[in-house]
Amino acid sequence: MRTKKLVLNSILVALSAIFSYVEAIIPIPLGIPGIKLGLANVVTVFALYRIGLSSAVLISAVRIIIVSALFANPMMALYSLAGAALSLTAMTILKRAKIFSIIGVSMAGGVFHNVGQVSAAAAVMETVGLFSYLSVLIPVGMLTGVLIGIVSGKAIEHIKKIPVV
Amino acid sequence: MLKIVGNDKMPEKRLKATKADIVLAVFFIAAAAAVLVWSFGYFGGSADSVVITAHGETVGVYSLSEDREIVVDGGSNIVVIENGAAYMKSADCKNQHCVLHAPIRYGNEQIVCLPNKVLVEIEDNGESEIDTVAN
Ligand SMILES: [Zn+2]
Repeated sequence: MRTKKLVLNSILVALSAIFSYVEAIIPIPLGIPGIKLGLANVVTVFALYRIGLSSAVLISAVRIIIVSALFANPMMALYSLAGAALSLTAMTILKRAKIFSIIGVSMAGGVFHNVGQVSAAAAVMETVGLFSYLSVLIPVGMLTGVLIGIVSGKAIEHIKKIPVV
Repeated sequence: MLKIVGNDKMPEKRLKATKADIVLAVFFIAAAAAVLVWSFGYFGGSADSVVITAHGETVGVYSLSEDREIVVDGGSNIVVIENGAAYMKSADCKNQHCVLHAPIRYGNEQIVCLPNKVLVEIEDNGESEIDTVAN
């Protein structure tokens, strides 16, 4: 059973890494440099709902490390990890409150991903000016989060059976 | 097979926005608006110098009234001061966001090169723009 879970997690890491890669080579212009749709987060939200928090944490961490080792700069990996950590924390808390739908949970995930990234960058660069980007990055995070929530929700509806304990 | 915890009628399992979702969305919009209001006050003051830092250490403080070119970090980034404004002329970073950034000239405005940890920031001299014009 452990092996099955390991295989499932590995497949999801590979899938999310492909999403990140596709997004890196075909950037969707959303107006502001550095803004991405975050397709890979579909996998994170799916894992959070259908497998569990530990899998979601593992999948995002491994994906970020792989993707940044292959295509990005180590500093950028730090910002992504900060974003993913805050995003997963917020989504876990809201999901447990049991009053938010997957759309609301994912929306918060999108917002806090950007808040985490900007906060990490502001701390590293020692400047508060970077927080000004949040006036745009909060609405953008809401939008991408809602889209990801809908896509993840559809995926969860369609993939009812997962061969894991 | 994976056990589905709870049933699909529970709000956190449904693909339909709840009241709590809407409240949260309103809260986020209010937060974004608050940041915007703060930005209006934070940026735009009058200024006469620019500070360049690399890896957390000050490279130098330069007057905006004197045109020059500053090579940062052995050439990773080149900053140009021209006609009272500063901009990133070139950078070896992959994303080039810093190079594409518009020139900066007012208090607290900044250009960051996140991959190279280079920050170009206008020093706010504390006087408001209106006072300067009056003088
Ligand atoms: Zn740069």
